[in-house]
Amino acid sequence: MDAATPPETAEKTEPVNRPSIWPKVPPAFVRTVLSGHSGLGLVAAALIYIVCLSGTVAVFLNELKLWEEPAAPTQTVASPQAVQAFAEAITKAHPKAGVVYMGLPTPDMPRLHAFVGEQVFVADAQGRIAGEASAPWAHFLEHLHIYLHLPETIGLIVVGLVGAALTGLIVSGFLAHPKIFRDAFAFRWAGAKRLSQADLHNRLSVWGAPFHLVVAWTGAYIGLATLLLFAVAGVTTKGDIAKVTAPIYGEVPRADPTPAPFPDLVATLAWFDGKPDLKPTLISLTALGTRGQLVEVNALMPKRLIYAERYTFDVQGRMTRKLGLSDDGLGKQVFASSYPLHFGSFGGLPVKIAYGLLGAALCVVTSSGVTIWLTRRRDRGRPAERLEKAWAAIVWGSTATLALSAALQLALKVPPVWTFWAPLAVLVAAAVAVKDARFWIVSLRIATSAILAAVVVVQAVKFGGLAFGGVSLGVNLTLLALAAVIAPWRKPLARAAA
Amino acid sequence: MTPTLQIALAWTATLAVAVGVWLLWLAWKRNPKPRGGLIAGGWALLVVAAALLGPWAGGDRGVAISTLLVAVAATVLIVVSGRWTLPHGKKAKPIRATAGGADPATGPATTWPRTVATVLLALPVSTAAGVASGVAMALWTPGAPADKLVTAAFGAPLVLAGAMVWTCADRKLLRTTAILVAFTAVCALAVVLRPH
Repeated sequence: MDAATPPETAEKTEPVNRPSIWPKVPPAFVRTVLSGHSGLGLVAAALIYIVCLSGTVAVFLNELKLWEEPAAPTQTVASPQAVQAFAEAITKAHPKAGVVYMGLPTPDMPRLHAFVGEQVFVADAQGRIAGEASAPWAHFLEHLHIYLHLPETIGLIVVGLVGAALTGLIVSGFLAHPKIFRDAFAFRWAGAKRLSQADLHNRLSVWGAPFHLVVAWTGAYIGLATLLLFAVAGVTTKGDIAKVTAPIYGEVPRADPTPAPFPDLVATLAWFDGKPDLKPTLISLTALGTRGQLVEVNALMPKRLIYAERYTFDVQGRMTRKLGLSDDGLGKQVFASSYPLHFGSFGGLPVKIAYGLLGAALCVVTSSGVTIWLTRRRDRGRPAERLEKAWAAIVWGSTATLALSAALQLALKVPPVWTFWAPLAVLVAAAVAVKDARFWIVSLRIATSAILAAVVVVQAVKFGGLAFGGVSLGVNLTLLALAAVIAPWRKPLARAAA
Repeated sequence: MTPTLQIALAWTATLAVAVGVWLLWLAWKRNPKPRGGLIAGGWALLVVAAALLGPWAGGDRGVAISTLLVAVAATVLIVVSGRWTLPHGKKAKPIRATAGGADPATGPATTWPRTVATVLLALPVSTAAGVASGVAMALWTPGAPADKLVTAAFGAPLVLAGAMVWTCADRKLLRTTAILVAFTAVCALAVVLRPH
């Protein structure tokens, strides 16, 4: 994906003999790196685009869960007694759950809820089970981004490879464009197509680079850690992964099924009273009611980048161990900071909005990178028409089918995995077979826009007044704004050929 | 430090980001004269902004939020100041941009067999090299066990990313293969000879 400014169209207003602080980079090196950048980009573009698109939407996962299940009870604070009652009720209802994660109300997920396997249960103010709020579409979106709907370990590794490819593309993009900072603000949309796409690609790449690099690198790390752990465990601990991760996650206690009293969560939560820098957000309950039980609490530290500090408690609610994610060496702190940095969960809604905007920019950078390559081929009289059409179908077809999967899940409970992938495959095949790329871009933009509006209508019909309040209203207005932006209102510019 | 002062500093930091990005815009967008002062001033304000955010947002978190602010502010400025319509006559101000740009060299994937070989090198072979380097890092990196693991987990994707780009750039497939296999073998040897 060559994002170089086409020599024949660049505006030559550069002053002569101006000294540059940048080191000279040999042209042959630039051309070779650009070749690698183009080649790798073409190989991985479709997967990168889908992972970036789903990741951008998934930044707002908690908001989407609230939007998808607006009728479930919400509460800003849960009393310790309600937490205790809820834990006991969940354990009684699911005695073989093994591990139960209880989420305490937070600003972006104001619910007392519990994860039992793939199911999510919500509590009322007294800690009684109020019902299930598993938000299947949000769950689908999460799995699309993390696993691409492949079997989990394989999917994680594939997404990790995508992250590594994106990391390579970002670094090689800078090496291949040594003058990219000097042109950091030159954006000429109204020019020849290759010039406008190159400006779009390069400008969004430069200023978004720290964000893009962080999400790509941490994504690669999260995805490939499994593979690396298998390898390290195979070499050092005869395959015992828990032993390898013990320095970070702590030792896993031995299972002991001997019956034991239920842990005192009221006392556990009381330990955090008077500690304003620790806000408990998640309680992990393992093998409850047995002597091997484990009660761990993740406490958010509002002024830290780490996702939480973790504390272990005994059955009486006495704190027995602190994991040390906040202060026990750089490695643990880097590990614990990587997740908030990847998912944009370290600064509330403003940071999420910034992540959404820069994530959308990364989608545009991916899309324009391939378009530049395709345009150069066309400019040289060797158009790759089928590839142009297929790329148009992937870029705009995936947005359309993502919206379609939400509409059909909400309206008819159709499994979104099928309504995302199957229509996308059909669209790509149809695009390759008929019409031209412009037809597919315009048609699919109209379709995306219409389906996004339909999603809002479906949600409003399904939930009535709940659709017009709180988080639901925010999500619905955002979807309508997106529908308006994506619709092809403007007549395309009459561009000069490069 | 009082919360009010922390919030005041955070707003000052936001202002510093806006002014810093604007100075860089002035330096790079239109000004054809030497402009070291604007560039230095712009970057300095961005660094100051990160420091000012610290008391309100926390040290590491403040740097992350400040970096995001810069990215969003610059992107907004690019969109606002971009040329969205075709320029007409004398009204069109020039947008400074470096003339010329490189075309990519011919890559290794010139035929179907070479394309398949390139993809194999970029995916399984590079992945093997990346994982092997990660295991070696996990065993040989000095420091606490957690530091070793995290270094390996962040280092291996970088090796993999570099190998992916290189295998897609270098036309000499045999050279790429030989070096990647040799690298993986050296990492394997390092694993065998690991400290106990």
